[in-house]
Amino acid sequence: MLSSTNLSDLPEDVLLNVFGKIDREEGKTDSVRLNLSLVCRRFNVIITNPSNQKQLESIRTRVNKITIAQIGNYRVIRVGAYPNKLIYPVPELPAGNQSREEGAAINDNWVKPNHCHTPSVDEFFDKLAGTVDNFETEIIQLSNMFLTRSFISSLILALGKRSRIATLDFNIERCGLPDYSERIGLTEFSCDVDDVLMGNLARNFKCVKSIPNRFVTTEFIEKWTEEQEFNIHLTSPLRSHRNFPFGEICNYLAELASAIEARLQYACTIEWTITLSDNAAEIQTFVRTHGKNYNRVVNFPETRVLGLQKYFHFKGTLNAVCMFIHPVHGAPDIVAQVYIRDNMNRISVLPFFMDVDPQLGSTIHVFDVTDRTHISGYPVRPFAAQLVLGHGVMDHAELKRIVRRAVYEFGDRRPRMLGEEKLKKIEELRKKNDEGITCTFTRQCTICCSPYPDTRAVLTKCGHILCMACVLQMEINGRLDCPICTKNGEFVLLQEEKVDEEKKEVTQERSTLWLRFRNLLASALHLLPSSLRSILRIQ
Amino acid sequence: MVLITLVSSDEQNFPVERELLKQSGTIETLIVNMNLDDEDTDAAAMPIPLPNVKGDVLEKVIQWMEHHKGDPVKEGDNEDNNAEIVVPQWDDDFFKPAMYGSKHLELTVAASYLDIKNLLTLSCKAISNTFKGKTGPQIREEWGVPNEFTPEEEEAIRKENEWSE
Repeated sequence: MLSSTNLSDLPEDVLLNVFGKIDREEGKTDSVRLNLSLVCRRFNVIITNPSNQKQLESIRTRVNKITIAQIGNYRVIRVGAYPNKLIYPVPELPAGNQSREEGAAINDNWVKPNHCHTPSVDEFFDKLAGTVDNFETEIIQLSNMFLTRSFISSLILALGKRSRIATLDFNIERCGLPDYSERIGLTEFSCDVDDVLMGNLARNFKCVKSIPNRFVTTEFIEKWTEEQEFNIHLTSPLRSHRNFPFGEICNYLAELASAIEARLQYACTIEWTITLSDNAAEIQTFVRTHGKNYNRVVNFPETRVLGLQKYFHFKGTLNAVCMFIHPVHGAPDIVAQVYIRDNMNRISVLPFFMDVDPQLGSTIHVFDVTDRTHISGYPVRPFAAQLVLGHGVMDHAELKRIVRRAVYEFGDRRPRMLGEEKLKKIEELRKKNDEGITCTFTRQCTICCSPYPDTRAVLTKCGHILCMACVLQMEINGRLDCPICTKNGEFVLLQEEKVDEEKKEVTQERSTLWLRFRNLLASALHLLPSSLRSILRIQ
Repeated sequence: MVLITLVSSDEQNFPVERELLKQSGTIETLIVNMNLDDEDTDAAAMPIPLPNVKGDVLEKVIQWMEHHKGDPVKEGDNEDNNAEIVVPQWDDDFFKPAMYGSKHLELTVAASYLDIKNLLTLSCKAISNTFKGKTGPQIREEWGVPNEFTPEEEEAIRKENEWSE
């Protein structure tokens, strides 16, 4: 340790701790940050380091928003102070070649280019990064800009490393500037900007507002599916298409369907309203042209309900997504219900309801549509399905209750495979088991001793795990008693992530020997009486 | 009462109550790893060397820990930024004589090294309080930081920050 320690020699983490504890003086555009930067070089370096910004939040001035706008030849950065009062009085905006002095009279803080020439892109983004570091802001707005690919890429770089900002808004009109709507307006996007790039940009924000419609794609939406609390922001662009004719809405519907599927995977609930044709032919055309792969378009003439169904594999189980579109008396409001269920035992219902014209009255129907649904592409059998349809539902508690009851009843009615089918399935599963994947962990089935069964089932009463083939066999035999603890009950599919290919390669060598040993052991054990076997395996 | 001996960088021995040392994350980890808590371990025969802490600083740290005996230790590193930290009167008086000098800074560094969260928080807060309402040169003067900036450099930094004034 040095004989005398100086403030400027403190370790960086201690200094950050000290800086982070400085009291924020509300209402005052305090300059603590500047003053600290002026103490010594080391302080300045620490304070301007982007990766320290999170800890330095308390010495950043809080502002409402940072606006980036194109005004004349300038790209300007405008900082709205905190609280609101300093934001809205809009100054005369410097246009074209106006001199700097005029701009300086502006009470509002526009960070202008250093000289009266258009700053280079690098300069601009340096400035922007500095601004983002200096101020703690909730919103970044882009206004009146023509966004090119390179601009957005630079923006992503400028915002990278910093902690995520709450909102990015592309529409300045929201901030209540009617007088300037001619000069300040919506941001436009160059046609080479794609949703992958926009998705990357969006990653720096917790939510993005006023997204142009063409960016509302699955990929784009998926970036936020984990951020449930911000989901509400996403619904607005989807919801705003009420009055589009069907032909125009087709594109959005395709996106919408994908978005819904994406969300179903995260089990998120969303709300949406769409306007759709009640013409079956039009919908079929839509399904075909957009390659949504909906296996079936169902038409229920008596209720004038159109349904789109799609089956997809997710986490090893077959799921169905059904979208039902219900036009009401030619009115554009539609009540739709989407639900999924897998092919074993689990069902989840995700209701999507929205406000409809109150004059139409409210109804909720539960339909059993099991007989009418079939899975094509898989062994053809009826697909148990129940459809809850409601429109004009105001009483959401009542709706919830009905949906819950429907789910409850539905649970009892899961489709049972017929005997022959089961045998086929068992044969198929046994074959798969023999092929054997290599794993380092134990997954041997207690009954058949297959060392690496492909699919396994969990007994719901006791939680013991067996291979699916054996469980199905037991079901055929009539009683599902657990071979380990003799409890009688139901079973569910054990959902397992498949082993990573790369990981597998790494463990391959090690596991081959182990596999040989296990096989040897298993075959030896197989010779033992079954009662002894089960005793041995409990340990 | 179990006593554990701490040895400072200048070879001074400080017998300290076992209970007190719970406040220091670093020493607590050491004690657990060395099994000093076991009954059949002779804790007195195993002094803990602290080569980064000088004797007079360690004395201060122990003094502080004695006063704060039994205070709840904050869990984890998540600091609650919303809660304002107030330096209690006793601590203020404790820090004051050494303020603006290397003693207080050494104490802070020691608190950081020994992972005594409450002490670190309070002593950092005490330092940051001295920055309040001061300009850069004032802070420099008070803490005796040499001025490294040329006027041009200073101007450049001011310019960078001009919108925040």
